[in-house]
Amino acid sequence: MGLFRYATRRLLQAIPVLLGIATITFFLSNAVPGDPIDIMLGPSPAQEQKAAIRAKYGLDRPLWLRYITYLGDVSPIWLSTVDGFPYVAPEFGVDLGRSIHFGAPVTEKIKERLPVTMLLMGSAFTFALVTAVPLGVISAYRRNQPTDHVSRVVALVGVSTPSFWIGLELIIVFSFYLGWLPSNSLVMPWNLPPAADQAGLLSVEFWRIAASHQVPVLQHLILPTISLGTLQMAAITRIERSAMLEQLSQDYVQLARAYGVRDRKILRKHAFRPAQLPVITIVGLNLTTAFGGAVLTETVFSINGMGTLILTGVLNIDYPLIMGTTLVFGLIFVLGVILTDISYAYVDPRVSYGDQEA
Amino acid sequence: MSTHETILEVEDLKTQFFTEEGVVRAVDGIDFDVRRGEIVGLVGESGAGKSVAVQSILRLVEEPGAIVGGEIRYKDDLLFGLKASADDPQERTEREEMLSRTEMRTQIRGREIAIIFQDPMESLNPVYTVGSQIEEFIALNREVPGDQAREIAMDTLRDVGIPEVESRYDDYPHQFSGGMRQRVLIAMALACEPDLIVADEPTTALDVTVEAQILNLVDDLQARYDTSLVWVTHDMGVVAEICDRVNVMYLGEIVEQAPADDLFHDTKHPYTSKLLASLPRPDRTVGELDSIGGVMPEAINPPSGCRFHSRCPEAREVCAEVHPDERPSAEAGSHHTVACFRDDAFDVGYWDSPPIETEASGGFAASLTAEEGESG
Amino acid sequence: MSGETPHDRRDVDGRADVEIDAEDDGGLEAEEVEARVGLSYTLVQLRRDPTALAGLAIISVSTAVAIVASIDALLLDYWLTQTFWYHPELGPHADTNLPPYGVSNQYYDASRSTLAHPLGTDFRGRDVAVRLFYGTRIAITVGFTSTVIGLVGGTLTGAVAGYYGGWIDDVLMRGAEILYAIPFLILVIVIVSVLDPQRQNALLVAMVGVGIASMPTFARLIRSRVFSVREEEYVEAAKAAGVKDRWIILRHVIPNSFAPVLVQATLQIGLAILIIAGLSFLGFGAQPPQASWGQMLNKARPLLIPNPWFSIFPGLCILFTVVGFNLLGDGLRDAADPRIQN
Repeated sequence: MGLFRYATRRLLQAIPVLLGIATITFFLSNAVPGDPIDIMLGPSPAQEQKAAIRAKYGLDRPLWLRYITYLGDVSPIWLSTVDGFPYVAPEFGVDLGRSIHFGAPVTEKIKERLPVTMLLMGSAFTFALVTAVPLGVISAYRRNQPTDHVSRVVALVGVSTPSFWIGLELIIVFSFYLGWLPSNSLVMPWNLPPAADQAGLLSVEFWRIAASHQVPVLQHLILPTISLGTLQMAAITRIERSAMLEQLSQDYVQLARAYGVRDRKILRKHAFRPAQLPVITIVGLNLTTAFGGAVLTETVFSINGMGTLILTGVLNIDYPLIMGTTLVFGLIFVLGVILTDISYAYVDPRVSYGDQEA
Repeated sequence: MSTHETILEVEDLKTQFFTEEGVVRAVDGIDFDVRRGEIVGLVGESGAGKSVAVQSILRLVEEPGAIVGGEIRYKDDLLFGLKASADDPQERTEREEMLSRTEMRTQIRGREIAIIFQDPMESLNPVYTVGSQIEEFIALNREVPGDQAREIAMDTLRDVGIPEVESRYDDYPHQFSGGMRQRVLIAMALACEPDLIVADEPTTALDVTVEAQILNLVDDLQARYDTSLVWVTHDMGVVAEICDRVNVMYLGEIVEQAPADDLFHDTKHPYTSKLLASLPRPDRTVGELDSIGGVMPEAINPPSGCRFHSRCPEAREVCAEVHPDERPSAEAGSHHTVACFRDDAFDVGYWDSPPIETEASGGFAASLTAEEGESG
Repeated sequence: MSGETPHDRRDVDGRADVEIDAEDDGGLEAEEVEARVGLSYTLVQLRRDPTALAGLAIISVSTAVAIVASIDALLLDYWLTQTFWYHPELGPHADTNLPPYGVSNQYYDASRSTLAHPLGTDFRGRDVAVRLFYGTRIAITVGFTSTVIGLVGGTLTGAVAGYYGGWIDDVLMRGAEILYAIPFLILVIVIVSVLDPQRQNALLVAMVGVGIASMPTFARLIRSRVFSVREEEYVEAAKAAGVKDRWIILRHVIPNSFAPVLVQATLQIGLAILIIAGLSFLGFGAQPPQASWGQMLNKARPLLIPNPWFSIFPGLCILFTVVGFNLLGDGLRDAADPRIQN
């Protein structure tokens, strides 16, 4: 089927981009003027100690060799020389090196932090879509009426407000003055209290605990979600509105009207589906904006996610950490764009069938 | 021509658009009717108000446009009609018997009157399959069980000449050529079994050979389904091919109305003559092909008197001063109406009025047609 | 991530046009051409749009403030503000952490506030109002400078890629995609920390960084225009007449794409102000004692609860300025593209 082949092709096309991201992050990180070893060991370390650590992290080897090794480490599949012998063996698995700052494998840190950021981003985009899509549709349908004016002002303010500032103000109002919601860190839905483990997976008690655990999860999530999601919400509202307006003036929508289709169905079916194409696109591309927003939101709400991880890396000149996190961000972005492309192709048959004619 | 009952009657229809630049009188008091089983042409240059006129019939005109006057009757229903308001004689309100928006939607649109748009490339929704789009309209406009809608859709698609209907039914519009898409749209209209189909320049976007195929097809199907048609076009050739009666529109008004044969052989209005003269014909070379001088004036500020006088080779001073209404031609009889002072039905002293300079004067071909008009 | 992705240009605010790349699919190109209306027409249309004029007014005020502040800082060595107001960077002018005039909470009573410092003083006793005034200078400067960098770089890249096509196009556009795939803000953070670990010129680096990061947006925009302009007859004619490529690009292609680029640039200035505020907030942009809104928000964070006003005013300044650019950008877009006029 067209869609499957399209998806495969898009995945293959992502490989050179990922290679490019790996290359850029490698050379950027290695251009950092400061010496990480100095930062690690303090003001005047012994020379031998320094050399030993350099060797341990492979920093004593020439740059190009480190680059090749790095590429091999980060690719899931690679051919490597074995112990310097002139024969090669396949190497599997991803190795992002050891974080100098944490003294732990980068993959381990990422495994720990990534779910937090994904929860935050997922929640923010859900919030954005759930509010923005109906708002944009109503706005277009009631064009130039009060509802439309209100939603346009909300959207305009939304795209013009710094997300971190929204976060700060939300903390002042909801955490401090009203005292309704917590202002720091997130609680993971699956990090159940120990009592749940004791109760066992099959017991009623377990599910009761699990369910009540979701309350603090949501409480912690609300403010960061609004902070990160507002910009996306506003952006999607705007594009949803203009896409719906464009659709409502299309001949085929007029035709549906001329054949007696109800306004509500025109809105829900005839105009809505094609209008989602630009929305899908913007959601995919806005992933990068959202990553930037995540760094800020995590800082404001003291959340230990990918954003604060990369900041730690940058502040401590921790090459492997910077490279690893950037690479993961790039990977998620590329996957996100491919996913949106596939949904785009799913909605618009002209893309997946390839034989464009229209 | 036809002695059948009249199914659509449009009287003094006025549709206007309220824009920043001023009020555009797109349709300014037109009368015409359609009888059962006949094809009625609505001819004129682009901008004459033909599309607005047919959209008004279905009350599809949207902001900033609105129907502001006149009456539209379809069979026993009043699609549009105003009456003087009880409290304020200046204000006019909708008559009680006029169909409501919901009634228009559920009883008229698609069910009784179907429409075919100009551009087949833009008239099908790109994200739904061709078959499902027809099916939806059938299910909406005909009392048939769900599975039968599919069969009807397939049968109609076969009727309009789509090859391999079974395999193409679930294809998307972009997999069809322009001509095929127009066939689909015709099938869509026919499948709802309306009594009247309004075709708004349905062949303009197609190339000539495809156009010919479609015209033959329509002629054929019209006889078989016994549907009435309003055919909007700017092409006199198309009119000659399929229309029974013709209405010629200029700048929001109908200037001549006649059975197709009469219109071609006993042309009364100079504008109609000009339209006919601009048709390429095998017996004339391109050099003789006549175009209409000047461009159509804006409908915001139509010329005084006869609206065509600014481009009319026959214009005289009276034409710029008095506005001709549409009357049965004195010589041709009651079924041929015309709005031109050159006809004896008018008595405004045209022949004594001095000729005036217009954009069209000096065109050599114009005098030729004028001779015909005078002698005929 | 190839030319076949169904999106061609990203807009900062989400009103991106969806278009399949011109080279792969002529599909939506007709609309493209339709939308390409001359600059003068755009500007005439704009005069009728009250919201766009409001945006223009906001921008004019901000720019005027920025110019006054710049003259004062660069030419007069803060003589103007010091004489009539306070020095924006050096303090203290009064007690530290004074609340705005008439404001009190459980930590501060209103008696401490004074009309001399209507918006209060910061943690170093500097007047908040004068710092906000000076913040305009940084916001407007970074907004315009980074956008000019992105615009010039992106326009040239896009024009060259679109005009020559072939492998030049491939290389440049894949490069742009890779640049695109690394999150904007993170890319700039990495660039700042790489090029300026001591943060002496962090603001300058951030400005250049945001400029570079915005290049792909302009490059894609110009490239798709070039594809349609390239086939136009007058370009063919110029080519046949032996006019140099460089001249054709400068003389025909770029002016022809001016209206959409102007729209994008206006919106981009707003976005750049937001991003650099974010960078300054994280400590990668403006550095103390510079008076920048983002930097002020950074310093407001530890005092968020007792002194909420520290965070409110800079945020409102950012919001106000960026709204100005977005209003004008929207107005320009509506004026340039009759299809989506309101």
